[in-house]
Amino acid sequence: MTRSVSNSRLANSRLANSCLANSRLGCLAGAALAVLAAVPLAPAQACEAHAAYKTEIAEAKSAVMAMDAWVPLAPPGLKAHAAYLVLMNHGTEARAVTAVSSPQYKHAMLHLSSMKNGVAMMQHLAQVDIPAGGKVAFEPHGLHIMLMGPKGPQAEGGTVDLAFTLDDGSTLEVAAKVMKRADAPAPMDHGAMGHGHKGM
Amino acid sequence: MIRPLSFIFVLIAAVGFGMSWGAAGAQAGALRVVEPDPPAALPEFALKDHRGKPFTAERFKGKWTLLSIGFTSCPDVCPFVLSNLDAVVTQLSVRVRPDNLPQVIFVAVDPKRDAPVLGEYVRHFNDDYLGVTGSHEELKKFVEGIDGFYRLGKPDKDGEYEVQHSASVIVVGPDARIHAKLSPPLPAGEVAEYIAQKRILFAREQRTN
Repeated sequence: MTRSVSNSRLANSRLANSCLANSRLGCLAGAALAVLAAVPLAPAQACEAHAAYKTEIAEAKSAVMAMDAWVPLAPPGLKAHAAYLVLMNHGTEARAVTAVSSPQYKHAMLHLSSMKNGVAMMQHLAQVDIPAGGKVAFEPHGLHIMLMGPKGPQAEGGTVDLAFTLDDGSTLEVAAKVMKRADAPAPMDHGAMGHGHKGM
Repeated sequence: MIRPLSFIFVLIAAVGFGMSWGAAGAQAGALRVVEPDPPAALPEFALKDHRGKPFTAERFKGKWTLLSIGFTSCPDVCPFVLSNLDAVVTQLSVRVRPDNLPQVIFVAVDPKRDAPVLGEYVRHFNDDYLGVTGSHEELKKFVEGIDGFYRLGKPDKDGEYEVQHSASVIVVGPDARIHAKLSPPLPAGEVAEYIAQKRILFAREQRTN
């Protein structure tokens, strides 16, 4: 299965790095470990395969995927919109979203709506963690992408382009669909969800 | 003022950060209700509706009202509550006559930013919604009088500011008294059921008195 293959490659990405940085001895040790981890490569070939590993590491950076990205149709003239989506980390290393932007808005921020003694408040988050193999749901009344200062009118069926910066320096581009709240994707099951945030 | 007499605390489906407030009516058994006993009087106030007409206590008489406190630049919680209340009205419309449906009033507590867009804002959710705002002095009096709260945050470098506010929905009866406070999550089906039963009980009490 493709997914398990890419996972085992990810698991070995640190070995590949040490291979690049260290001596031939370190490289051989790394390769030996790689064999233990059941990667079908002979030790001698492993170091020659640096380049291949590097490509795979680059691919591994897209281990975070987005689904169900949407922006509720907002009343006209409003300066603040919200975007919701689910981010999944198919990788074996924890990732974090550290920034978000949209060319269609002046600012975009990672926000958390919270309730304290029945009072709703918003918190600007510095990052949102996505555990290895886990997912994080941005949903109404919780995590959301705050979109400030729309540069043009919003239209049902249109899209909002979002660019998420991840803590490994990669960027995840997502097109969120503008739709009525009634047509929104069903909220995900929270039972199995793991996530964390760090405040500003 | 409002005493937490009967806590109907069926189930809090919230996990972790209380993030499971899903879409309208998606989760059952999560409605939290606090009822003052006896129903509490409304405070004195001088506010205006989104058409610029004075909003007085008379406007509560003879119908049930759902009051929501918020501000129009609120991207997440306020639109969520207002669209949920629209779902409540829709669900009630199959059970009660149109003239018996509750009115929904959005109390906009950020008049500087809210007043220019209030009409369009409330109509986006439902043509019949009423937006109400006024001076901070009057808003404070009214909001605190219905056991609510709001506070404007400090403006950032762009002059934008956050507004903290009660997310509860206040239920006002046709006697212009506060009958209940509903706290999120606000599953539309349960809120509709609660209001429907409240109507019947109230009408029965009126007949026996």
